[in-house]
Amino acid sequence: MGRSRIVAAVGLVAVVGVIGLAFALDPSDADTASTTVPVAEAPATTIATPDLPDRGPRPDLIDIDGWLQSDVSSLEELEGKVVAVQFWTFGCRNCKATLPHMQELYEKYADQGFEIVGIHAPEFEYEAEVANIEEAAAELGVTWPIALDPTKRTFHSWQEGPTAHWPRIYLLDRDGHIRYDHIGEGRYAETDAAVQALLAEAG
Amino acid sequence: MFASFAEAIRATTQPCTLLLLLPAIVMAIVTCGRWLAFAAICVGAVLGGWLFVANVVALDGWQLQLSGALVVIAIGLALIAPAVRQLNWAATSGAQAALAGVVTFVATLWWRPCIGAELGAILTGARTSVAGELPGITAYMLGTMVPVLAVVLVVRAIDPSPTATRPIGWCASGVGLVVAAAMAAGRHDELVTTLTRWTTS
Repeated sequence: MGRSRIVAAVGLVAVVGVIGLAFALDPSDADTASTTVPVAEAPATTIATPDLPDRGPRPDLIDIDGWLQSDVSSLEELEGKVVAVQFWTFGCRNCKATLPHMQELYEKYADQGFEIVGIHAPEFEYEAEVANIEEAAAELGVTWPIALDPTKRTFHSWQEGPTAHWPRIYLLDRDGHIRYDHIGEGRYAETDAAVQALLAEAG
Repeated sequence: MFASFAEAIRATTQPCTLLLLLPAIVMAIVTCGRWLAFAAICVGAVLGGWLFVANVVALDGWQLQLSGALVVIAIGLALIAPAVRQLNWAATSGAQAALAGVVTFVATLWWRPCIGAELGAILTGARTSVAGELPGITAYMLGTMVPVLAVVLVVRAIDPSPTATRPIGWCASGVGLVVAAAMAAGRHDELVTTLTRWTTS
């Protein structure tokens, strides 16, 4: 066996080791575990309240093709509440990973004037079928209002630049102004602290 | 930095990374696992990642189709390059590497990543400072290229004979051409849906 082949074989073993390490360090297990802690037993958060600059009034919802699980049919009807607007689609694994944390927020703060609106913007055709969305919402434990954005016009109009992302969460204060924005999974404690601060601010 | 690198490695097992990985792996095989080509692939991925984070380019419609056609041509050129290798090996090898970099760069423009905590933090941070997030996205993009490195090492460890190299290259490029042709034909959504269903079924 030539020297270069041996070096390649050793390198391959090292790469497999790095891949194994990457999976061993996957923090999602810890995240998932934290969501299973009953809300009442959850330790008090020590996360500092993030900056919540006023980023101006929220954009309008455009071409929404109906609402699911909702008594309201517009964001205007939610003014006076702190609202989390989350862009998601049920086929997106990272969106799914955020849902237990969203549910936790909902259970914790819904009776204090907090609401979640999930804007479902499908990536693929099968994600645009209302029956599939309803089925997925039931399976995934999504109990908050869902606004349907099949053309993704709202999805793109809210997000700056040519590329828009799932999942993305915006927190609106009681005046309907954007005060917090996060792309992707994570920062759950920070989001929780932001909701608390916005509720306290107005209360 | 390592957290971004590691998250990218984990994301390579998800369907959302396939459109980036497949063309890069194809080019790694077509170029017989040469280090120069792998370096070009990494450069293409990192440059594409920078553009993604800067959020200044998004291909849509005819642009996607044109990019697919470009990749068809690039893979074709890389495939026939060995035919002229005897004339000028170094130049041909360099050209193959450059084509591998171009193909990977274009593939990053097709990429719709899974946005985990690390990539999400990078994208969120980039809203206020793109430059500040370049190290993070560089680490992330290099993480996505780890499976390509594994393929390069496998090719080098096997070190197939010249007679075996050709059919392997043709098979790999066939996969790449199917992907690129689907993009050129405007079948991006169907392609991603199909890849997703294959990998999740």
